[in-house]
Amino acid sequence: MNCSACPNRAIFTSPTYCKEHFIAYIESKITATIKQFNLIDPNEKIAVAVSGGKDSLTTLYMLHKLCKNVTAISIDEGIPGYRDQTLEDMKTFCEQYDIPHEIHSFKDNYNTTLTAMLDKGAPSCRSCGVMRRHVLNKAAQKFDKLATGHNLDDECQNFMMNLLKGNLLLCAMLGPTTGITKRKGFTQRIKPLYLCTEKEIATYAFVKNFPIHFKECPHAELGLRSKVRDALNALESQQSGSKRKIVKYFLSILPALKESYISNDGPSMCTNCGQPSQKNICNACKTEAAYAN
Amino acid sequence: MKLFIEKTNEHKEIEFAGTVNELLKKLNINSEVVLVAKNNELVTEDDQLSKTDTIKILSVISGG
Repeated sequence: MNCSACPNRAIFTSPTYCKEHFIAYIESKITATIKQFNLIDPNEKIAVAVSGGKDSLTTLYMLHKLCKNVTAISIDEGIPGYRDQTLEDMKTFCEQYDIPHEIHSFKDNYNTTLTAMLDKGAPSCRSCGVMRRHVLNKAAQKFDKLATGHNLDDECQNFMMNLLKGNLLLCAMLGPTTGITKRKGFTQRIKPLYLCTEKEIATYAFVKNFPIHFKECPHAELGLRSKVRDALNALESQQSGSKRKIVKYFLSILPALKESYISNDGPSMCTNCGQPSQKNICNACKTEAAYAN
Repeated sequence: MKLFIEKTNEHKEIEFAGTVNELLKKLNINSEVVLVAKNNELVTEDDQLSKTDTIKILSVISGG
């Protein structure tokens, strides 16, 4: 099969492009997403949360191309044989492109590691997610925006999972930007890959030769997300464009959801750590108290 | 054909000639969740594979 824009061999279908036209397509799509949702001002200080996967490296690479002041932030949870390798890859990547890179660890913040917390009975993905977001939020406070590598598949899965849980408040907290209300202690999140599918980003990372090694976290749990992801991918293979249509529909109802479910007052602060929280004590401080000490 | 499946870290040698789509069907893999590389170059579902090719099936889903 040939590229729809030139006689070269295609490497991707829907749309059908060769390597060069596919790279141009993805880069223009990400640039257009940033413009459409007004995600960044070129003069802002941007932090990019980088795990070393295809999504975060693509986000970092593109924002580094488009903005003057970009810093990579990685979280070291303390997972031997997994995170140490991805951190090495990230260091090499950031050195190659001359991007400042900060590493913040559970050890420095909580004087423990995820592995040690799991030994004390902490639920793996839930406690890891809560602690990672807590460390990330603290690390991002000196920046104007915090970019994450969430793609169209992630958003589609999140929307469907929240619907299945019957939680419209969580649906209202999704979207290409989150935490839109400016408040002390919280840096706005932006998702430049919002309209790109997981397959598009994996293809882009492959042809750009980014240093990505597939390795599943040894503590990953097969929960609701994997069931929703499999169902959506099965649907997509039967009916192409299903995921895009779900996200398009979600975006059309997002303003109404925000109006109904997001309070203008914003959250209060955690009385222990001072970070934004809906409760007096945030989930990270509760998790730390239960499993870190 | 030499075959590597990244998700399960499996290296296999199989008797197969046909399209990428036919190979994925034979392996019961949804094309939505993988990239297929023939001799380290990405190929599309209609591309032909021969018995002498070296094929990698790469996962598009991040590892957590």
